[in-house]
Amino acid sequence: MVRAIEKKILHFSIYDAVVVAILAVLTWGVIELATRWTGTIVEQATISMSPVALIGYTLLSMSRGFIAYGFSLIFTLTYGYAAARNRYAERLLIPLLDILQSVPVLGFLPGVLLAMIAIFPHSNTGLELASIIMIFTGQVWNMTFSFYQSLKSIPRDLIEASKIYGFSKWKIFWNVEVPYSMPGLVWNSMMSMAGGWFFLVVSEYFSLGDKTFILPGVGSYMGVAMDKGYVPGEIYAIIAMMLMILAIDFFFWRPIVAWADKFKMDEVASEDEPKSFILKVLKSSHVLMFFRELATLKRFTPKLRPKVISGDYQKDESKWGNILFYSIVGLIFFLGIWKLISFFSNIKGSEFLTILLADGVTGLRVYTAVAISLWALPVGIIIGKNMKLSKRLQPVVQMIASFPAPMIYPWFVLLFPNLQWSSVILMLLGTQWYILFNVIAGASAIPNQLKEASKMLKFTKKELWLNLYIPSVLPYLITGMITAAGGAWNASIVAEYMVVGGHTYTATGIGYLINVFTNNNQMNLLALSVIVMSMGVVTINKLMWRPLQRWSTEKFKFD
Amino acid sequence: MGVPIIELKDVSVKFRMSGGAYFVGLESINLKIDPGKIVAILGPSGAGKSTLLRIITGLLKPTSGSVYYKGKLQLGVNEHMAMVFQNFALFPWKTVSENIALGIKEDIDPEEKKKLIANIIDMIGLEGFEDVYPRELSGGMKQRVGFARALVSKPEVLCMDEPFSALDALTAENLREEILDIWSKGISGLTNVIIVTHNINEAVYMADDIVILTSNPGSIKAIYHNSLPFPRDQKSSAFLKTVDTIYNVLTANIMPDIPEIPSEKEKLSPIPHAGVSEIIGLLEVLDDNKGQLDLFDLSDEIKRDFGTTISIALAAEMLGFVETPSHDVIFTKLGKRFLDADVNERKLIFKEQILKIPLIKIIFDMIVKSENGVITREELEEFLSEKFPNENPEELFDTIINFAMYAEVLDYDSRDEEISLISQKV
Repeated sequence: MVRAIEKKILHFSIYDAVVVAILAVLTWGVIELATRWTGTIVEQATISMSPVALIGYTLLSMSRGFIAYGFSLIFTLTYGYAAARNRYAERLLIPLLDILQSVPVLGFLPGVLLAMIAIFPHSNTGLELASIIMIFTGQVWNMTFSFYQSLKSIPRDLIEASKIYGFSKWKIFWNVEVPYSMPGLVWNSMMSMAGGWFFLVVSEYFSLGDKTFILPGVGSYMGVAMDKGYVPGEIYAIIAMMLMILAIDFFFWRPIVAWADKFKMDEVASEDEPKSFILKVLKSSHVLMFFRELATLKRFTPKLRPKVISGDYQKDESKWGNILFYSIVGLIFFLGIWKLISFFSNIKGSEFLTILLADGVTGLRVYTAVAISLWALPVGIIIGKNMKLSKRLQPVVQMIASFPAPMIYPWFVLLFPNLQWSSVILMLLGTQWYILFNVIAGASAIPNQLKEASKMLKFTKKELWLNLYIPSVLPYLITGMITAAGGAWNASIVAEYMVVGGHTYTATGIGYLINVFTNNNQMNLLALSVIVMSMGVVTINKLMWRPLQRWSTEKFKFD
Repeated sequence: MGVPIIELKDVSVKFRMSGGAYFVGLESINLKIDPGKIVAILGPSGAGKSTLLRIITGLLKPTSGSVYYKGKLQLGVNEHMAMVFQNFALFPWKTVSENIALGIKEDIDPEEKKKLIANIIDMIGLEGFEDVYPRELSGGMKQRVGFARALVSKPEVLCMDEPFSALDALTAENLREEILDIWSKGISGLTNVIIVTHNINEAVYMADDIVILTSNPGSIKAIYHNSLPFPRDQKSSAFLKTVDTIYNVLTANIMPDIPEIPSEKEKLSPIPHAGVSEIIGLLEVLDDNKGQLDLFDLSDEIKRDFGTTISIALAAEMLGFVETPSHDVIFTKLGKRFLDADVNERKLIFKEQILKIPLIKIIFDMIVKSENGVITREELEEFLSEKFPNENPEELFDTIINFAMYAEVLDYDSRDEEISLISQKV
């Protein structure tokens, strides 16, 4: 051990220069950010159209995405752990998570914004936090689900080994549970961050009643450019957004995916190990090596504390514990309903009906969009079953799915001003990629022997598609459709009410109503609309999508 | 005799690896298969058996050379052949009957179809399972469905790719007998069966002709004509003698008795994949058996499959601990000394021996000449894949590093993936 440090302490290379430079830039960035957050509140930031300023705005947007991701990670680790390791928590938290996952989050933006401003009336922190919370809600739910599921499926022998070695709960968490869940966490993090950009862009330029809130960022830059009709600016914004997504993929995700490869539970090394240039740089830097070794030196002495192995990992339930738990939950639930009823007491029946009908209309649009997206089924199969094609195209599709569609909505609206119909296209734009992406994944997972068997059985093209390709991707298709539908509901809030170039475009639907109620400060109608929308989505999920998903996984997935 | 039903003329298969190099899967295969025979394709893992079968069926196109079926040039998948797969390749969303129905290619009415399927289900022993899904079946039952699906298509040649490898010994035994039974009763239209296997016993039990493949590169070493009468008794002396003969053919290639002609430069050969503890275990087993054992018995004693046993024996031979005349493994004096020594002495002996191996000497050299006395894992693996394109560089790397670390000759930092010489101070 001593020998290792002696050897390396005095060597430097180009990699060190790069790493030090990166560290310096990061430090400067953090200081700038802190300055901005604690500055006096500016509800409507002035956005300059210069491309140079755009760089700064893009960095600010990026900071919001990353901070939100940080919150998501912490939430995932705590919520997921609690749900997986505590029976009572599980019974409450998982159904709750399911609902939160289905709820169209954008409807809550007004409420969150107002709350944050009330808490931080004098500094920018409130505004920033509102945006970050919106992004957070777009990122966190499936990360948490993935972590929860990984925790529940840790092989028994790993847990037993750690118990015998006297590991404390903390040690088990960081040395067994988190590493095991790493592949799923990394994958879901990538998807979540991609999904978060949608909310970022919407929350940077937002109207509430007669007030408009503008946060400096690439989304607001685009919004202001659209308002002014400044086309070069619109193009710059789109380029900036794409560059940001590419940069994050290359500098952040690729190294993490390559690093996380060591956590895969395969016994055999795969031929396709992910590589990353950045990871190589980080690994080769002697400065970082030095700190790594220092860190491991400290942890090296094992604490030999033979622990008595306590019976079962999960404690036994007691009957009274159950009764107590359910009574408390029931009480809180009823109190909540009581409060809600009094809140809504002055809403007329006709208004309620309008909301219900509007929800129906939007629902029709959502499912039309999902139906049209089915073009992705044949295309995804064609791409996925060809290994070379899928390797090349999958990252591209991922990028496209990450790009926040609301950024280019105004262009479409100018082309197709009849929002009653074009709102469907707007919804499509954001969500069809999820179906494509999932189908590609499914098609590339078809076992080789089955493909060979199909060749030997001399399947015609039609038989091949009906007997092999379509059934194999069905579970993935359904997952994709659920995600796409959820995305479309969220998009409806932006797509059914648009203000472009001073002109207001609208379509009948619940998204439209939510915007109107927000503008007119009709809080109780707003709350009712959001609740009706959410309940609708949750009901369809519970009654249709989840059973469909369970059925398809049972029948069609390869084990 | 007459026209061979299948003929391969000078068939070669090359795979393109990342980095532009070529891996030769099969080289200059010339093969004739006569009608009416069960042919086994036998060889150690990696010899190209599965590749050869896919060439025969047309699933794979040869890089050069041609395949003939009944005298005509074969292009694409052969319509008169059916295949049974190692992992069954059943469609999980179709029932047993539906899976079998996929094999029926002729345009017949549903009543006829039902009859055909019922017949085959009866023949193969799947009565009662018609409407069951594959996930509810055991391995043996799944493979029966595989056979049924293959046979219902009325093939002229039935091809099987290690069909019993994924099954337990008893089930495999059972199925083998049943297949032979069906074959002996005769199925209309079926002229040949081709089975790929790594199990010598299986080949001798089932086949009329055994095509013995070798690796590096994949080619036909010999074709053994098995004239044992059916039914074959696996314990009879004739059977055992046949197995032994085939063993000799296999091992004569893998462990040549003829000493390599020493050339100006010492010939560089890879270290066979084996662990230090496995080598020590082999020596201990030899010790228990008066210092000498036949490979077959050795494989039984150390409870490893044949291929692995050969690797360990060859590795031990490279270190000078054993000798391998024909198919025996015998202690050398050095080997006995090694086994009797204590831990430290063992390491010294190991170190002495390992430094005599040309490959290790070259690697040493590389490290000494390198920039800061260190080479990376990547560099070494690149070097290994250059020198030995038919070996797995990662496996070879692991073997070398484990040997060198045991001998306390090299140091490896697995986080930074760097290899260096062990310095003298502790």
